[in-house]
Amino acid sequence: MDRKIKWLLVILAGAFVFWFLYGQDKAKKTTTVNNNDSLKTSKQPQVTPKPDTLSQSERVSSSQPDSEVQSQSVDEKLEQWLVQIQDRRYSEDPTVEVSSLAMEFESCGNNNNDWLFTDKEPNEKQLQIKNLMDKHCKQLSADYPLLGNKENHPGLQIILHQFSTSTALGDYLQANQFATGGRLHTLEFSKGLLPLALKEKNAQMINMAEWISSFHIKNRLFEEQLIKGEHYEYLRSIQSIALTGLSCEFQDGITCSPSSRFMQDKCFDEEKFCGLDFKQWYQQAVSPGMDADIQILKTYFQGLVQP
Amino acid sequence: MKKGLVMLLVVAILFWWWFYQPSATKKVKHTAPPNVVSFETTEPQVKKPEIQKKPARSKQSESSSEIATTIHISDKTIADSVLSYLDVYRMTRQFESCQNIIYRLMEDENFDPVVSFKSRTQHLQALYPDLPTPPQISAIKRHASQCEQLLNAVQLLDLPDLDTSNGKTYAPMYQLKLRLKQYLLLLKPKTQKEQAIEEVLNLIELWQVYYEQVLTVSKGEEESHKAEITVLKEQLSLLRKEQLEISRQYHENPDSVERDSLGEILKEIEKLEKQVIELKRVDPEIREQAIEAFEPVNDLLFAQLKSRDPDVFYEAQKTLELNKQIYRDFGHFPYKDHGGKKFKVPFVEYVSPGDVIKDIFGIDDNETFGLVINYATQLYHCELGADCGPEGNWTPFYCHLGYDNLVEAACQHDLPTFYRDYFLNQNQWQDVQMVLDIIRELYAN
Repeated sequence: MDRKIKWLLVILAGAFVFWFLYGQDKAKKTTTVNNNDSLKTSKQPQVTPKPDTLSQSERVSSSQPDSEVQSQSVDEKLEQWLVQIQDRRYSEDPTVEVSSLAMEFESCGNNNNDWLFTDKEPNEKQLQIKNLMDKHCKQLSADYPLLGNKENHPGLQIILHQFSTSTALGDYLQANQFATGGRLHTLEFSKGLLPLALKEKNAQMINMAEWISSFHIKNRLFEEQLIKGEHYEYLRSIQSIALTGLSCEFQDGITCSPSSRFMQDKCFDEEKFCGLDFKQWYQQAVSPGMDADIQILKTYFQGLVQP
Repeated sequence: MKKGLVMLLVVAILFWWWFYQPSATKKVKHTAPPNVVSFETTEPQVKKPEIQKKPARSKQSESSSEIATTIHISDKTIADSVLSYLDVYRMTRQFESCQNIIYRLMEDENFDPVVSFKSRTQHLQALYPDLPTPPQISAIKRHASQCEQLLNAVQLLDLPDLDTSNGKTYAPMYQLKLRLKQYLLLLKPKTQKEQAIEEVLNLIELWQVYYEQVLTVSKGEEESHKAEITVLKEQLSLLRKEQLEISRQYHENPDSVERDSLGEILKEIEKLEKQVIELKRVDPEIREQAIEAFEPVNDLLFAQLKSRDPDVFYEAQKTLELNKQIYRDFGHFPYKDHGGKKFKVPFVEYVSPGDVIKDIFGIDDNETFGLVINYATQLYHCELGADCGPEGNWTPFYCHLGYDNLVEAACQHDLPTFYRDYFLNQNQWQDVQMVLDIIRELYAN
């Protein structure tokens, strides 16, 4: 039970982070790489810039000194980001790439996973997983210095909307506000996100759809008639397992590794699962009827993908 | 002369019969543990349990005029003025599900069960916007009325006084609960069923003594490093005061407290507790002896799971599973406290009935196993003849008594129908049936 309260706290913290990233309805801006600006490398990101949807006058007025400084630093930071994400891990779409990295960073604990054990010490095996998470986050911070840089946060929201998109998934992420308003809002966001994430074969975005939909126990990403019953705990469980299982197929199973968000939870609940990946856990943990329901859901979710 | 001798013989036989006849009710074999002393210590050693049953009070019939002549217990109207052992047992069981209502009735003259329900389930409003529905409201009111009748009936009984020599004080509701249990101990079971219930309750009392003995030995003794442990405990006491103060300040004004300060104190407390435990000593031989003494009693209680009586099964299962929230974890309680980090050597050797079934079923995850085992165990209880109707042992928890999973259909159907047709889906029901087959195989064959 303690573990569930802690995850609730981190979900709320994550909600705050995502409100920062997506919460305000800012119009998309083009990513214009200024060739006169010094870039760290000569390699240009392979993006297709979207037309600027705002006229120059609608940008932050240069008559306001603070905003002008802010605008300049946004451009600089944008350039830095584009340099950092030159070697894509998830997508050629910069919006999707940065969002996926942010989700990956969130899953390893955001360089601050001590909260997992605020009131007790991890045992040896749990400590190993925690250390793996730390190591993962540190590596991400080293590869993407701006990711873990707290000073960037006030500006990251503006920066993110500067990124262009080249996929429907990217458009969706840019266009939709992250819902903090209630159950239906988070459900609708997840429902729209999931098929796009599956189509793009993006493990982190599938993970995000699962995570956000789990905020409310009654959130179902599938038709009610598909799997009946009022046992919401069971329904949420099979949904989570089905989506995690689907995400395992992409990006070398990063969302299913022993230090993934799903397996961290299992390890910190029961020591015997520390060090196992999702598939190994599944073989030990899922009963025949539950497996049948999970397969039904996986087929259904895959069927949501538009060609 | 001969007549005199015969008379003497008859008197001798009568005398022998009167003094030396064996007890008719004691079927439990008490195995006394060894009384081992390996060192001078004030810590409790493995000791012989002393359980004495008080003689039945003959005063019962004298007090019959004080007992209500009509008491509704599980729909049965007692016309007699004398309550049977089974009647009082049923009252103790009903008291469990009425506990919260009785507490409120005793504390609040204006108690309204529906208002109380709404307040208690505020957190569920988003999940169940129609809560409580009309059938739920009717069930809430009926249940409250039954609890009130129970309270009145219990208060009319000539209950024994509580033993307060231990210095403990209890809330009035809890005092009543304990006194009712004491009252049951004073009654003599007559029927076979009553005797079976008494037997398992006595066995449970014995089991708890032996179980506590294992826990006591497992905690470890402090004498060997008394001075150091005393210093650490003093430090712990100060830290705990500081923790309470920080919690209080946070409660009043979250901004007045540094974010990580509570976490740091808790970590410091845990560190010191660990040091205390490291200094404690457990004699492995004594511990082994305590476990060896516990095992035969544990086996006897496990054997009671094979009883065809639903009440005997209920009592044995509940005790062996060491659970607190019966309606959720009746079949398997994954958070059993065997001492964890507080004991020098936690009693991890203990295996509950749910653990046995989990092993047979082959599912290793407590969370996923929990999605089937409790329903299967409740259904087995129903098969033994338990009251599983809409106002029986289990469905009220899904209708209005529980803290989540409150479903209107539970107010109107028996448990198997509710589970099969409303609550569980088809594949989950199949898993529950698989586990139920395992339970039947273990206990009913």
